[in-house]
Amino acid sequence: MSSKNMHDHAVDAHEDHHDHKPAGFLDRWLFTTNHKDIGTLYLVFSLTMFLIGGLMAMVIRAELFMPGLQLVEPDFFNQMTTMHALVMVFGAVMPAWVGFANWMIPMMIGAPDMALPRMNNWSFWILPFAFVMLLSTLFMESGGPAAGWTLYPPLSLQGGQSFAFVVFSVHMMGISSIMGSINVISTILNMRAPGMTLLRMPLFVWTWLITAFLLIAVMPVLAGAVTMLLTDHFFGTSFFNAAGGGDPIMFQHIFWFFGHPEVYIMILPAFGVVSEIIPTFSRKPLFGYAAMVYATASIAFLSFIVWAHHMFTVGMPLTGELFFMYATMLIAVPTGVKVFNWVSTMWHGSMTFEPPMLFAIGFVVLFTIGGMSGLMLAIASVDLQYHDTYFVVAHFHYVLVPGSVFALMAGTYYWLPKWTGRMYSERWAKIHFWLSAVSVNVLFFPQHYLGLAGMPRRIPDYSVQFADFNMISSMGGFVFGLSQLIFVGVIVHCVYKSRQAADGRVWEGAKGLEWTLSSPPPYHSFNTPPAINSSTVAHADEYSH
Amino acid sequence: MQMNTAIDSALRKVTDTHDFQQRRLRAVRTAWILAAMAVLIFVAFVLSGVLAD
Repeated sequence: MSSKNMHDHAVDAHEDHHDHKPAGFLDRWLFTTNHKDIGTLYLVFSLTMFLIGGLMAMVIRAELFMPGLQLVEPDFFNQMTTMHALVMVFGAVMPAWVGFANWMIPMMIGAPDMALPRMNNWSFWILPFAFVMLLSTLFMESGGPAAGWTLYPPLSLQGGQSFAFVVFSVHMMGISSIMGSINVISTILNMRAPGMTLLRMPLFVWTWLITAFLLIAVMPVLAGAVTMLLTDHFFGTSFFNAAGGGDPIMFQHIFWFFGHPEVYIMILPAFGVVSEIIPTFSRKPLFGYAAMVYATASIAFLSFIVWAHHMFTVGMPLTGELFFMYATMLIAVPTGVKVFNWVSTMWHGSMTFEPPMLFAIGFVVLFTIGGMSGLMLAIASVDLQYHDTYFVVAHFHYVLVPGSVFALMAGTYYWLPKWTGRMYSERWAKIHFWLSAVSVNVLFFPQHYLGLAGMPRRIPDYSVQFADFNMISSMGGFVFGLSQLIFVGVIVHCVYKSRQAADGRVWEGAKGLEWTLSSPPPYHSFNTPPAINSSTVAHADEYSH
Repeated sequence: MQMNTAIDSALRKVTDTHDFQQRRLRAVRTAWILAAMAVLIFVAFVLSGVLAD
């Protein structure tokens, strides 16, 4: 509690007791149109999916603990790798960011709620049905999808009847994401308080605005690709069936035109959260605010023109390989700008290391490792060696776990007192951080060596020379998995047991409209537009036009 | 900066809860445009597959 502001001057003028909060459980949660309630639903859903996807990861690591087949059949192992990815990408990380967007964007821009509250309700409640449908395939005769989350044909077309359920669930997830994105863009463009110009918006709002445009651009592409898979599988078309004149490589192009921006959809909001947290605990304004905005936009643009670096081994013209190689490397420039600005923000700052800051610093260091291995993979000639090995698994897990997931945890620890009105146990949160930070490296770092030594991904068995590193990796995995139970415990304790009330401005260095509201905030965030000035918004003076 | 504060202040006076309703109407228009974009992209990609087939 070192940085809890005991001299809080939170503006609480909006709190009244006539907030029209529904009384009944169903009215409150099933029919809700309130951005905070929907945000909570998203976050609870994504945490549930995080635990389910994590259990699948435990099955994978347990099977790989030793060479030879130990626990599961190879086909079930393939279902686990596929489902783990689908659940984590579409069920855990993406909905978690939408949850953050729902909770924070209206409060950060000075709006009472999201612009389209009923659609907001609908976009959430589609998700549980989509994932029940997806997970139900594991109990069907033909089993769940087992071709990897990329659903490459012809392998994915060799699945059974349950494939229709997979495709339909992907459609539903896509519809949910698109509706969520439309809501975010409509809210940011139309609901900002007077004076909240675009270049005064918090970085989290900026990163979400750009993410939402990415989502609208690429989710229909995925929907189109899986629709064509569906008709190839069930209606005799040959979009991707070589025997009928189709081209399976075309699927890879279409999939990765979606898939690469998808990576940035999961990481850009993480950049936003970290850009909120580091200035707060460095007690300095963010270094290079405008550069951060332009870097985010540049990364988003570049994400559309690099997709074929995922498929260097399919064979393409040399000019194509060169283009995709250099375009991919170019992404390191705006990403480097961001890392430089985060470090510069901390430089000479009065830093303290509360749990959100620990996770944010962990993010900067470990995400950068993932970025560096990404640069290695971008080199077309070298990628021929790395492709489809555990090096790739190590790379994208460094980007997504100590990247996106750490940022989600940082954001949760940052705003949880705001959401609940209660302070959590910082001691347990720090234990959670240190266990996670050590074990995540034990889990994923050895996988670089496994990949360089030639261990292919998506296999349940391997040669004995890979045994030691796999055992170390699995042990790291078990510790990482178990340590996430501390995260759940800290949240549950904070929500139901904590007696330590949180102030409006929870952290003394925090700036932004959300901190001018009480903790927890009133049911409708800002019924009258708040004042936008240098005391309430971080960059009000710099960009006053 | 002072001028900006004055503009902000003036804008605040004319922006009441009713104005948020106007903003929501504008937001609905934005939403339809974005939804149309999404549908167009979906149709374009499936059509490109049909034409290439």
